[in-house]
Amino acid sequence: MTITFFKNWAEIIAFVLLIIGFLFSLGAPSAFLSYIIIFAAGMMAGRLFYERKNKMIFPYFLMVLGFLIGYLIGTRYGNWLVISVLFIIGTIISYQLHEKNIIKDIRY
Amino acid sequence: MGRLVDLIDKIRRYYKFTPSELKGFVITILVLSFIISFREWGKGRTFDPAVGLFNWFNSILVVALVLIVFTSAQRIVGLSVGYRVEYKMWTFGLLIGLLFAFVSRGVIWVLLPGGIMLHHLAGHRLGFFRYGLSYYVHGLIASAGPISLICLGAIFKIINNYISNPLISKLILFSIILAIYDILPIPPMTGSRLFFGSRMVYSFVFCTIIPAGILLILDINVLFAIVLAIIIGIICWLLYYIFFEHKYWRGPFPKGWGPKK
Repeated sequence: MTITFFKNWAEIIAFVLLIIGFLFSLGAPSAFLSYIIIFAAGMMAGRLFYERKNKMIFPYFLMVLGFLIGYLIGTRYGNWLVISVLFIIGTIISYQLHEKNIIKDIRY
Repeated sequence: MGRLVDLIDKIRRYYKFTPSELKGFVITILVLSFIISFREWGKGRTFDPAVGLFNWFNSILVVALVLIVFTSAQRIVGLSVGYRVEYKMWTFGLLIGLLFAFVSRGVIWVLLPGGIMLHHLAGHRLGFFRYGLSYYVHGLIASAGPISLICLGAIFKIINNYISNPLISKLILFSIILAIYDILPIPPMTGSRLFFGSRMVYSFVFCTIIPAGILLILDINVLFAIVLAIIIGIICWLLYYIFFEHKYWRGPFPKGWGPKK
């Protein structure tokens, strides 16, 4: 069975992000830094979800979930529940900031 | 997914170097590698060409890798928004670097390789909000270079923690110093492009790259260094806006003239 990138791009990118998330959380030397990184990652995810508003979103959801799972697997310091909650909070805040035009994008 | 397929196709078509670009690239690699290996032409104060050539060759490998990452980042970012990026060697910059190397006996590295030029891919810009060229987009594409160098430095710093090697240490140092030089507002380097493109973005990128470089050279955790550099960048960006930009930027019609409503 061959896996073609163009057919399974969402899964492949989700897997790559899972590994990246795992490495990031392994590299974090303290719980505080783990929380900051996951919050920032949540902000990025919020922006991504805003970009995909009214478009096909499930593959992107899968990728973001891949990153979060990878991050949770690799967490040495910090609570997994706090990390998940911070990620979700970051996502919501970023999405709302984009929605209310507080954060604007300059297209070029 | 469509954008990704489009980008892969554009990379296949437009990534390759033109002959003149390749010539400039090779000269840049030779000169910069000579500058960074200037102090390694022998043991102690005795000149040894065999040792020197060996070290020069090692430096060529380091410089080639760093410059390939540097220019690839700019090319890929450029192609993603419909521009072909061309590397332009800066002869005087390289000569200044050589001069400093000889005068300081290799203690001071002045790394001024060159800048980029954008080619508008008319068909690939269709559908973008702003069709033509602009200073802003030029600056943003150029800034991918120093950012990629800091990322490269960070990755190799992590590798260096496990597999310590003088060549890797040299690569880290070179990539960081090149990133710092590149972000200075000296034409035709990235800094000048970004400075004239957007002062606000420049203040953030400049104040992130410099601390990131310094913190990566220090013996601290890589992730901590990057996060701290970004926080410093945000603070400086905010301070720059509060104390300077918002007083001096009065919009496109500062004296009140403008289109009648």
